[in-house]
Amino acid sequence: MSELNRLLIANRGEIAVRIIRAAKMMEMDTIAVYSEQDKHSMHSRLADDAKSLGYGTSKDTYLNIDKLIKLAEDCRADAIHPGYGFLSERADFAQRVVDAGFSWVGPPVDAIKKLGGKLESRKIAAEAGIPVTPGTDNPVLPDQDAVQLAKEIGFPIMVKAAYGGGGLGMQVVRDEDELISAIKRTSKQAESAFGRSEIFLERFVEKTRHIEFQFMADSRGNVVHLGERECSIQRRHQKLIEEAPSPAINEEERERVGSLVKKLAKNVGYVNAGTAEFLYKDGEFFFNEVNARLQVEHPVTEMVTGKDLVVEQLRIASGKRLSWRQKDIQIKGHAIEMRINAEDPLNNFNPCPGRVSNSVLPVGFGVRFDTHIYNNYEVPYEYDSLLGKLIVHGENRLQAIYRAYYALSELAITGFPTNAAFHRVVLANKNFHKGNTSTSFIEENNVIPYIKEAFNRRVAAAFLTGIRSSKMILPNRSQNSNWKDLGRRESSGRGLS
Amino acid sequence: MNEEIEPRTTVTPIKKASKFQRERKSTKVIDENDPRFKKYDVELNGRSVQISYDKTTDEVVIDGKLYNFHVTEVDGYFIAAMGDHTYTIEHHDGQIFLEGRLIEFNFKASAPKLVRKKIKSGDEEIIGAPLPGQVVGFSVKVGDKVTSGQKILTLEAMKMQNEINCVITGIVEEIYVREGDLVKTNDKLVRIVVEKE
Repeated sequence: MSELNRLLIANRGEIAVRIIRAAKMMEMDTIAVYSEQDKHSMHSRLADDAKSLGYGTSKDTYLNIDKLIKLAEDCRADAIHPGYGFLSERADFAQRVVDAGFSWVGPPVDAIKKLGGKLESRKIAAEAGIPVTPGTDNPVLPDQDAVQLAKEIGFPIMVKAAYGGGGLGMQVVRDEDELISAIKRTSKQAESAFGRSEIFLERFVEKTRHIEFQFMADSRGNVVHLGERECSIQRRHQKLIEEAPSPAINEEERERVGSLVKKLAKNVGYVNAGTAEFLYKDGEFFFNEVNARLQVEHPVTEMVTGKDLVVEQLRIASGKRLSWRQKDIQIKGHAIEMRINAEDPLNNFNPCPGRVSNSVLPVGFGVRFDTHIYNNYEVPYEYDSLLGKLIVHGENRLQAIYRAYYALSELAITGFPTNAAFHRVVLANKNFHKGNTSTSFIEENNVIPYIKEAFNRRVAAAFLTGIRSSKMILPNRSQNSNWKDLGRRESSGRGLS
Repeated sequence: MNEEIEPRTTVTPIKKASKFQRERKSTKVIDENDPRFKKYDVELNGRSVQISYDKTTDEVVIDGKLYNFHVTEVDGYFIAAMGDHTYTIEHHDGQIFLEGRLIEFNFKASAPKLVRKKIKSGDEEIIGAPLPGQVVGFSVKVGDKVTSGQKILTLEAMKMQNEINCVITGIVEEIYVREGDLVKTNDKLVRIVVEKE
């Protein structure tokens, strides 16, 4: 391996922008790839070169291995960064990348294979001495054996796709009558979503916290862990708010689990960035899985450690040794990340893409906004609804919460509903202040009716003001064509934007 | 009214918001079908809602709850206050700011609708796709009895599994799509017919 000069980013959206920024700092040429729907997305503008993947669904574009390899060859890239999602955890893609002679900015193919299956990764974790959630060691079929195994583990049971991810392919079963049909259903879903239908059973631990450890390894056997993140605030098994450090765990637990995670990474010959996910309840850790890639929520770790993970990923991929030792990693202050999505919390969090008619993004001390949106950007409905991530850093948790709340109150994205109101409500919640978070926080604290109430109040306030002074407050009421209006605005020299 | 005008605050302070969240003061419930109300369609940041407004009393009813804001104009901006909740609204150069934050806001009187028919036998509901996506699973089959609000199918869009529910109670008469089909917005998915008595 040698110096990398041209990096192809096989991803889109916010993470592509994040990687391009890091690569520019390393003075690499960057090559973005885009589907035609994403032609005007920020990543294709920021990169030094942008190549089209054609028009189509993810399958034809960002998941099209042949096209990506061909493009990388055509533009003489020497490394490929997969980002998160899409092809980031696909061993076959990593293999093709390596075979074609490119550097793969990620873990070795072998490690991805070992950790990709949830069943294998559970075995590997157990070997490293990590406590694993009680569950089956092998895939189960929808038959009486499964019922027997489930009884041994104890209900409620989580039916899980062995090759699932992204919050899909899992289902909670509370009694044995539902078990077989749930296995059949999940297996079918997994087959269509991940191409593998294997299912296993695991005890479902209720009201847990989701805690994960970030680690980083180089190709010379050095491994460090960068502390934990807590990602308990979720909806539909997908994370919405992440923070570091977790308010629940102490220094001793961090060191103990951190070193177990390092051992796991060494055992599989891991290189580059990875995350070990755990469920945590009352002082007990239960291993969940390893994500062999960069994660969406990596910025919270960056904020509290002051280390740029993506730059380090690129350094490691070019064969350099890890720039830090364990003693260089110190957790300073507290960071919170909120995922701003084009989705409506008042309508079951259903996605609602559209055109960004206007956006004012928060800035200031300790505030970071990683995004790919800009005014007049059209959010395509083909991909996930993430618009950006608001990350704040504070001296302590409470300061971070306050900073986040007031930063959010500056955030304005118009054109379609976003979940910003949801974040504000959670941040103002006393139980969140106290650190009483769990994966069922939304239901337990009944936050949705309050978002509705706050929304209604704003509607009423705006309406009553508007109806009082409707000429003044509603400038866009004119039924004239936009052209006419534009002419007027131009002649009066106002509203030219 | 002889109220002292509160100092202008742009944002509900976090302490106030959390106190309010804990106490959950309930708002007065009111029948919005009273003829003194006129209906308006209001859109705030891409989310539409229908409200009822009484011109004489300046009362607004949303979802059956009363919102009674007192609006004052101070130096070119407005303060709407209800109880100890205040919102500052400012208009400048074609843009509206609520709590100092740019919003998209519009309203118009609701088009007079025909009096809503009572659901009777033979009525039907055709469920259309709310957004483009892929049908990944049905919870019902033709001939099933369904009750209002029941989950009918799952539509995967933007990497999310979205539950599509029905509005009326009846029998699944026809399913227009198959599992795995890609659908566009407003494509017909399922037809449900109210059971004949």
